[in-house]
This record gives sequence, C-alpha cells and structure tokens, in this order.
Amino acid sequence: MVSRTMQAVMNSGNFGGELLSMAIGTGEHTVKRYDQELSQLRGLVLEMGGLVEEQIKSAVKALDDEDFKTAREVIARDQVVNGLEVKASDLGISLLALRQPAASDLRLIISLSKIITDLERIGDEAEKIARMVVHIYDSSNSPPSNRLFRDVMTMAHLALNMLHDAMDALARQDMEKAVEVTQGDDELDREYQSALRRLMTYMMEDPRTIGHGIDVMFMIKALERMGDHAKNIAEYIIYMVKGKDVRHHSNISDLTKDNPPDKDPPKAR
Amino acid sequence: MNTATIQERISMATDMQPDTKIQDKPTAKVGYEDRRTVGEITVDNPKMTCRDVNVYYAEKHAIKNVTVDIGANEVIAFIGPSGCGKSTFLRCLNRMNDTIDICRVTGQMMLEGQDIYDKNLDVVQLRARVGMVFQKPNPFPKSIYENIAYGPRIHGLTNSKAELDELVHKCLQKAGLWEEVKDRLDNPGTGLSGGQQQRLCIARAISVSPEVILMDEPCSALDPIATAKIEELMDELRENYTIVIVTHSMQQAARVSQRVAYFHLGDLIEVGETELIFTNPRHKLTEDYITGRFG
Repeated sequence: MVSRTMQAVMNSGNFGGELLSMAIGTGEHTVKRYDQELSQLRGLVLEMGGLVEEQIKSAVKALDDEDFKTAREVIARDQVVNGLEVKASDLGISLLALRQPAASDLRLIISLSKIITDLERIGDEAEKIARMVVHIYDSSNSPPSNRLFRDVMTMAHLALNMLHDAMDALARQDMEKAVEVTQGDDELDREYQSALRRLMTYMMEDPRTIGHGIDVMFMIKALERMGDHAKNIAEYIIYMVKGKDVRHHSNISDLTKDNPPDKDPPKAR
Repeated sequence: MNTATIQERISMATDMQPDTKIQDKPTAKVGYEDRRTVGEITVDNPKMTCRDVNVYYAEKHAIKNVTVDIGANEVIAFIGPSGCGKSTFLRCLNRMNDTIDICRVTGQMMLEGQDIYDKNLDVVQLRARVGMVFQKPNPFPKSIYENIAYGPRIHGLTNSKAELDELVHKCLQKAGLWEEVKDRLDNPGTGLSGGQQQRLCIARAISVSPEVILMDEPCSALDPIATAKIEELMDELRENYTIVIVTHSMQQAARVSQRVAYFHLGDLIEVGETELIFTNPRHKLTEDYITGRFG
C-alpha cells in the first residue's frame, strides 16, 4: 500500500514538478528563480512525507515480521527525516527573507513550514514504534502472543491512510480531501479507545502479558498521535488553499464554505 | 518583584486572541474574466465617496466605472501595474486633471457630501482641502520658511507674523523636519536633501489644514531611511488627515495602508483591508499582481 503519488513523484526524481505546477497560482512568477525555489520547497516536503510514510510502514512491518534489524534501520533513518526538516525549514526562512512572499505564496510557505514540524513528529512516533519492536524481539524474553498486536495493525492502517491522504491533498491542493483527513482522526481516536480497553482486558486476564501489553500501549499511543499530526497537516493545507484558519474548530466542513453564513456580499450603498 | 500575576497573564493572553474579523470574510475566488470590483468598496465613515467614475483622455477610456469610498483617517493605497489608472484616479480627487484639455470626467465624486465637480465649487479651495505630494519633491525656489508660509498667507489663514511663525513651526514639527532645519529657516528649500525636501513638501501640504492628502509615489526618489521616515510620518498624520497614496512598491502599500485598492487596465478590481489583500485576495488578478506573477 505504497503511496502511489509519492512513488510517482519520487521515481521521477523531480519532486513537485508537474504535479504541483497546476496547483497554487496559475501563472508563473516573473522571477523564475522564485518559482524554482518554491517548487524545491514543495518537493522537499513531499519527499519528507514519502519518507515518513515509509518509516511507519517499515516499523509496523518489522513488528509483524518480528524483525528487529529492520526496526533498527527505521531508528537510524529518523536522522534523514530530521535532516530534511532542517533543510526545508532553512529554505522556507530564506524564501521569506529574500522574496517577501504575499497571498498564496505566503500561505504556501508558512503552511509548508508548519507541515514539516508535524511530519518530523510523525517520524519520531514511527521511531518510537521501532524502538518498541527492538525492545520486544531483541531480548531474551519470550515473544508475545500475536493477538496483542492486532489493534496495532488496524490503527497503523488508519494512521497511514490519513498521512497518505494528507500528502495527496498537499500534492493536489485538494481541500475536499484535506477536510476528509481531519474527519478521519475521529475514527482513529475511537479505535485507540477500544484498543486500550481490549489491552486492559488481556492484561487483567493474564498478568504475564503486562510487560508486552505496556509496549503495545506505547505503540498505539504513538499511532494515535500520528493521526493528530496528520490532522494538523490537513488543517494547514486547508489554510493554504483557502486562506481560512480552521484549527480548534469542531465543524471544519462548514468553515470551508466560501461565504460565512448570514452575510451578504458587500454592496455599494 | 515586577512579575505579572497569573490573572494578569491570563488577561494578556486573552487580549492576544486572534482577530476573527478577517476569518469571517468571504473567500470565494473570482476569476480573470469577471472585472467587477470585489471586496468592501464602502466604509462606515467615508471622507470621500466616488460613484461610477469614468475618465476619458480623448478616446481613451482610462477609468471605467469606479465606485469606492475613502474612509476618514485611513491610509488607502492604490496599487496596480503601470497604466492601470491609479494615478489618473488619484488626480481626479482634487481635480488635477482639469488642466488637461482632452480629459473628461463623469460620475460623482463627493468630499464630505459635497460634489467636487460642482460648477460653483472653487477649485483653489478644493485643493486646499485635498492637498497633494508628488513623486519628485518640488519645493518652491524660496526659503524653507516661505515654502510653508506661502499657502497660509494666500489663503489668509493667519493674522499676524507671530501666528504665521507658530504655524510654520507646527507644520515642520508635524512633518518631522523641525529639528533638522530650525537653524536655517531662511536657507533655500531646494538646498535640502531629497528626503528632507519631500518632508518639506508634506509640511507645505499640511500648512493649509487639508482634510485629505494625496501622495503620488512620494518615496520613489528616496533612499530607504528617508522612505522609512515618510512612512512613519504617514502613520502619525493619519490621526488628523485622510491619506491616499499611489505606490509601485507593494511592500510599501502593505506597510503603510489600512486598505488597498487594486487597479488593472482602468478597472478597480479589488478593494479590501490590507491584511486580507496581502494574505488572501479574492480576485485572481490581484493574486497574480501581489505574488509577482503579473506578466
């Protein structure tokens, strides 16, 4: 279930090129270098998103395969994610300083700068899961029973979908999709709650599972946090496309309507 | 101990709540083909109101059906590419276009409810109420003192030399020039630096107590420090005057104005709060111009 968008973008080796040129702003800037820098920034963020997706997938797969070597690789690769964050953030700052961006360009740069922070956090959460995998399988302890991990898989699937859709919405400037992502977080939260309840039941039934149960608890917490970060990303995308700040509101799909309710467009007196 | 109590911190934090006003504005985008003005063309407290203004230079239709309010005590910036009509429109506001024979203005322009194109209106009086500062500083070839004193004298605004001295002092101070020139008021105004000359022209403009000051690219011939001084001055003058500025520098418009009007090929495309125009303009043409995509 590799993100097809990301894969296509990564294979082409030209991040954000064709895919994004159609998106923000219709024409090109009079200053070509500005366009190049903007698309370089978008490319970096998409690349980072693709890498973070891979990190989650590898971490969860390592758990499934009982493969602590892969998990170690995931831990090491977090440095690459961090490096991308620093690079993208530097580029964002220099764009702000040198180009005095306005309107959609300004919203794009600010949103991307915030998105990378959330991507980096998601990367950290993936690394946490990988550390748990190492902890579970790279020790003399007896391997845990598989039923403990079932919820991790379900939740990982949901979290990955959210991130994937968020990155897709970013690449396509697709506000509808971003709104969907923000709504998906509720499902992940519900899943987290019921997983937690099940986990508690297992641990009460058989206290020998408590050690691994706690590891699993950290993993599902990490996955739940990923959903929150993906939701943040989606909110930045809505701001980027629409210019509306929808954070901390309960009804995002209402807010993204074009005209505020009960207000007529201004008329001449 | 000089630390804020928790209560104070909370109230500080609540004071910093984001302004929801901007959030409630419509955001629907308007495409290239639609050339009707979008945004808030009217204001609650207008100083000047312009309705369906058209300007022709012989056959050329330079301003097309422009309707907009200029609010009292606001700085409104007119922006747009060269030849978009922003200067033409500005010059209509104090009938500077009267001197051009082929120029014809239709529609209605009111200053405080009074039609400024009324046949019985004294243009000289109008220009005292609506002053102007030009791109290139143009002090009179007279002393610094006389540059300021000339207007009030011909309009008979003062009764004695002492009163006139006081007025000159006040205007130079308001224009932020007093400290620099107080010892050489008899020197020629043309001997000042570019930035000082421009501030002298602003002092001259305010010497006749205008209500509105029109500024046509007032900083384009100035260095960044002189520009910053003029911009700072505009912010102070806003308390007592209404300022309309035409500028090619979008950053300047963003810095000094509360509202922005974007002109394109004679049409007023979009008017709105500066913050909104620079973060989320509604018209595609405005967006392209603001972001530097304009061909």
